[in-house]
Amino acid sequence: MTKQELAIDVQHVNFSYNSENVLDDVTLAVEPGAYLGLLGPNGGGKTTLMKIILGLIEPENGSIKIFGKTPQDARREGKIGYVPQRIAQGDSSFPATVEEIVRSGRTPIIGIGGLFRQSDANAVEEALHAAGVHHLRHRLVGQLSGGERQKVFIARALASRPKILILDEPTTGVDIGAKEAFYTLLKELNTKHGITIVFISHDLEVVTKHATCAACLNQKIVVHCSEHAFLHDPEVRKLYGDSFSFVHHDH
Amino acid sequence: MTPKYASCMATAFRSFTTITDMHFLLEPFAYDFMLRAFAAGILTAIIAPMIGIFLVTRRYSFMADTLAHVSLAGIAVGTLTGIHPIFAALGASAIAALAVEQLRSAKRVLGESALALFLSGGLALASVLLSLAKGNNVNLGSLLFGSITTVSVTDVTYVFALGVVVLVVILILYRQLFSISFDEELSLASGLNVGTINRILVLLAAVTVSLTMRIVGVLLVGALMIIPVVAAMQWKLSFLRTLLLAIAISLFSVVTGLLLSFYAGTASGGTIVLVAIACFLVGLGFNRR
Repeated sequence: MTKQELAIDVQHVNFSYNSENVLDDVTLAVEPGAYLGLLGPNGGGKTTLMKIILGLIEPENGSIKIFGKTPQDARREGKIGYVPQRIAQGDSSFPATVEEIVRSGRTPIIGIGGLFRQSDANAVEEALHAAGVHHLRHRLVGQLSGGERQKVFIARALASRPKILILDEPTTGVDIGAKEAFYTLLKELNTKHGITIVFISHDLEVVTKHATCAACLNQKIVVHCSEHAFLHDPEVRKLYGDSFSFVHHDH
Repeated sequence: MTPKYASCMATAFRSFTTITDMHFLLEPFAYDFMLRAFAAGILTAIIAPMIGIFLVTRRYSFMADTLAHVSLAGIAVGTLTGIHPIFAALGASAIAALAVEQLRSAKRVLGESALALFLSGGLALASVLLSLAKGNNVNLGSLLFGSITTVSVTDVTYVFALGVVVLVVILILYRQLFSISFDEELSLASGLNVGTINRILVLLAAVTVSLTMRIVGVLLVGALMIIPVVAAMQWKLSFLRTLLLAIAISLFSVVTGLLLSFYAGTASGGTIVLVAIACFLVGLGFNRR
């Protein structure tokens, strides 16, 4: 039996912007079924690494594989679901229902001029249920609260039946109650549906409370799947030393 | 006068007034130029909001106006060189559409600044070229405000041929255009070829502008593409229903506007756009919150 492929395999990636080093020899291996929180200060390279994983920008060197494929191929096959930043505050005048938005998650799979078939309708139904927004499907997306909108975008990402869900600061603009419910939903998608989850956050508490593994990125990366090891890592202490007193969770 | 005779007279009078009413109502359709205007107008009324909805939802409403002003420069070139006005307008607006999109996507210039640049540039070039073409019998009034009497059989043929192409391309790309209009970054991350589809959209807008301007004139092309969409958006419906309502409003505006302009002798473009604005006000009034 061959060794199980990594969900995300980033090897020795470097990236600089305007001759400033953003990512310095970053290596990250994410096992299938992992729930990883990616932490780091603003400008630490979190969003850049995520864009490289999504295949939206090319690194200067190094390699990226998503279940053994290039990010572009994985994206085209719908293997990666992506939920961008600041979705909660989006355009409230856009005339579309929740169902139309979630259906648009099937667009890359249906292709140009393709028909929306029964299998597509089934995937949309499943995604609406899994994200807990089935009852909102006829509502206009502009009329939803920040937390509801965020769930709609999860449903949209799930419509392509992805193996990995990548979320960039997913709870920006979402109130505290909805935030908790949101991370519970992510946990459920991870454990029940076996989806590998990677979310970016700048909030140490959120990462250590919800994720089963945590990574800290500040040009260089450190990854730990034990909360104790993570919080005592010198790189993490350097950045978040003062926050320690607030973080006590039981995994 | 016997009662029977009086009754016959009354019936005959009623028939006469009915015939006169019918004649009054059917009069526009007795003229070939009106039939041509309706044929071209109805097709452009269908495709204008189909492009317009994707421009409005991505905050690109002024694209249509910009392309219309550049089209005027194209028509001026056509007048000097003998190229058919539709193709001259199409060539100029297609080049401008691609250039605006290139400047916007390369982030060299802000989207709205790129539009302003081409709008002013197009008008400036048109005014210089039209002053050179003064001897060539250019009817500036009909170019700017539209004139139903100037729509020729050739125009109708071109409007149908190009209009059907626009219609088919939109139907094929509908899902991709919807996704990109909703969120460009998300669509890119989903694996859609956003750059190519954006270029196709602006080219379709250029074709639609060059067709629509024969009916409503350069100054009001943007209005026919944008106002029915904005009017339909007041009813807070799904995307597909908003699009269908926008087409219905556009068709109503064109047909009513053409009839009104025939009876009142007013400029067709202005009349059509005023009807569309009335539809917008009705929508706004019913949906105030």
